[in-house]
Amino acid sequence: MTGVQRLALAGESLLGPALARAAARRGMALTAETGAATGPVLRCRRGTKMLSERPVPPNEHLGTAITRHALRLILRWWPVAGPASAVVLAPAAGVTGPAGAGPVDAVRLGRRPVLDGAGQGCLVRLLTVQHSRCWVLSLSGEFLSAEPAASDELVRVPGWLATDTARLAEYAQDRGLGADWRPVFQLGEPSPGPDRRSEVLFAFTEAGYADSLIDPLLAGALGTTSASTA
Amino acid sequence: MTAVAVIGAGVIGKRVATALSGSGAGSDPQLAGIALRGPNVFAAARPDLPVFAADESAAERLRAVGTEVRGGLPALLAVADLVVDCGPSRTGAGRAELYRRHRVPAVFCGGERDRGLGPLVHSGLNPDAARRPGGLRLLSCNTTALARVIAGIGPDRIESVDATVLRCSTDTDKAAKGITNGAVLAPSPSHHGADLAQVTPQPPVRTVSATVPMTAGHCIHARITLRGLAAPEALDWLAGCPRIELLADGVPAYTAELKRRSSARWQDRHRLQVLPIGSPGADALELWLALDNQAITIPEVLDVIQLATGTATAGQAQAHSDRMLGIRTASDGGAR
Repeated sequence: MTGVQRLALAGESLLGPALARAAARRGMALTAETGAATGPVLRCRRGTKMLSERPVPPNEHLGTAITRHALRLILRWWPVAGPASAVVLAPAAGVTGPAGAGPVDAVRLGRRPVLDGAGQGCLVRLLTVQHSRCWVLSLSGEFLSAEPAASDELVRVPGWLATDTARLAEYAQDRGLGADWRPVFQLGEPSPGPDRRSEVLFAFTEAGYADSLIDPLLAGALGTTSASTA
Repeated sequence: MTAVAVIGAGVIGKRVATALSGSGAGSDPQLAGIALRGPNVFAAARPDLPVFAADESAAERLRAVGTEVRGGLPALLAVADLVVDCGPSRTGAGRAELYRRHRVPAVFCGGERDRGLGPLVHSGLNPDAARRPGGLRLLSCNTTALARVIAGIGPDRIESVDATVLRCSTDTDKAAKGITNGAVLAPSPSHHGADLAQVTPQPPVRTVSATVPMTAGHCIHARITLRGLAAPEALDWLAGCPRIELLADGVPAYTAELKRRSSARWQDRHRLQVLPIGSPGADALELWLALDNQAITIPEVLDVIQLATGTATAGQAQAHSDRMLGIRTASDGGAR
C-alpha cells in the first residue's frame, strides 16, 4: 500500500478537539468526514483505503466513557478491596471544546448514577460544572496499599501545590505538559475515613481517553489486513 | 551580557524568567535568578532555574517543599545588572529602596501606580524614557494593548480613542479571587487612559472598565477617530505590526478558542488580536481587541530591559524581543 496514513473523524463529536490534539501529538492531522448513521466514527486511512475504524461514544455517553477510562487506570495502579464509589466533576467546557449550552452558575446533576464495572464495581456520580480545565474525581474505597504502584500514568502532585484546579493546571503548563496533560494526577495524600476506607482526589483531562481511541486504531492499521474496506 | 534578577514568579514573573532563560547560554539578556517569598508552583515545576529567597523565613519554607535555594535576595542583587520587579501589584514601592541601596536599576511590571518608582514606558511610544537613570514602570496589560494600537497607527494620526475594557476577574492560576456570576461596573473612568497620557500626550484616550467572570483574556471595545488617515489604511498599518494579529474573517471570535489554539506554553498569545466591527467608516474605526491578560506585556518587558541597559535602539530591542519569543519579526517594529 502506498500513501500517507491519516486519521479522520466521521460525524460530530465533542471529543473532536481532543482527538485532533492527540493526532497532532503523533504528527498527524484529523480530517473531517461525513458522519455515519450509527454515530461518530474514528477512522485510519491510507489514501482512500480505510485501514481500521472504531466508534466514538455519542456525546451523551462521553462523560461515562472518559470517567471509566480514568477509573480503570487508577484502579490498575492502585486497586481497592471490594466496591468503591466516586464523584466526578466533569468540565462543561474547555478541552473538549467550548460549551454553548452552559451551565453558567449552576451544576448539572446528571440523570442517574453510573454503575461502572471497571472490574471492581465502582459506583459513580457524574456532575457537570462550569469549569474548563480538567476533570476532578473523588474516589473512596479500601485501597490495598498506602500508595499506588509507580507509574508515569498516575502521578502524585504535592498537596501544598494542588489546592485548586487553577494552580494544578498552571503546574501542568509550567512543566510543559500543556493544557491536556496525559497522566492522571493524584492530588495530595489520601484522607483516611472509617472502616479502612480512604478518599483520594484525582484530576485528568481527555487526553488519555483520546489516546486510548487512537493508539489501537493505528496499531490495527499497521497490519496488512484492514478491519473493513472503504 | 545583561544579568536580570526577576522578583516574583507569578503569572508575569515566570514568563519573564522563562523568556530570559530560554534563549540559550550566552544570549542576552539572561536570567540571573528568581527571588521568591515562599513556596511557588512555577519554582516546583522548574527546579532547573536559580531561586533566591526574599528572607530567611522564605528560605525555610522553600526548602521545606523541596525547592533549592541558592541564597538570599541581596546575593541575587549583587550579581544583577537590572531588576524586573514582578511582585504583587501596588507593592513595588516597598522594595524600591532595597534596589537603590544595591544600586541596581529596576523595572516595575503590572502598571504600578506609584510615580516615585519612575516614568511609565512603552517601547513603541516613549522609548527614550527608558534610558533615564533610576527606575521605570511598565504599562499594565490593557494599557499595553491600547498602546500597541496607537503606536501601530501613529499617535499623530489619531484624533481620539474611546475604549471600554472588559477585564478578567482573575488570572488563570487563582481560584480564590474573582466574581462567580455577573459583572462589576466601575463608576469612574479607568486608569488606562490616564496612564497612556503619561507615555504619549496625544491622542486623548478615555477608558472605562467592567470586570467579568472569565480568565481567557481581556477584551476591549475601542472607537478610534482618525486624523488625516482613511480607516482602511489604518487597518493596513495595524495588520503590518508584528505584535498585532488582524482577525478580519467576519465571524464571531470565541476568546477561549483564541487562547486554546495557541501552541505556546501556557497557551500564551503575545500578539494583540484585533477584530474590526462592521465596515470601517471614512475616518473612524470600531474594534474589538482581544488580549492575553498575562502574556501581552512580555514583549514590552524584554524591550525595556534592553532599552534601560542601553544595549539597543527601540527597533532593535523589539526585533530581538520578538525573536526571543518566536513572534514574527518585521523590518520596522517601532512607532510610526
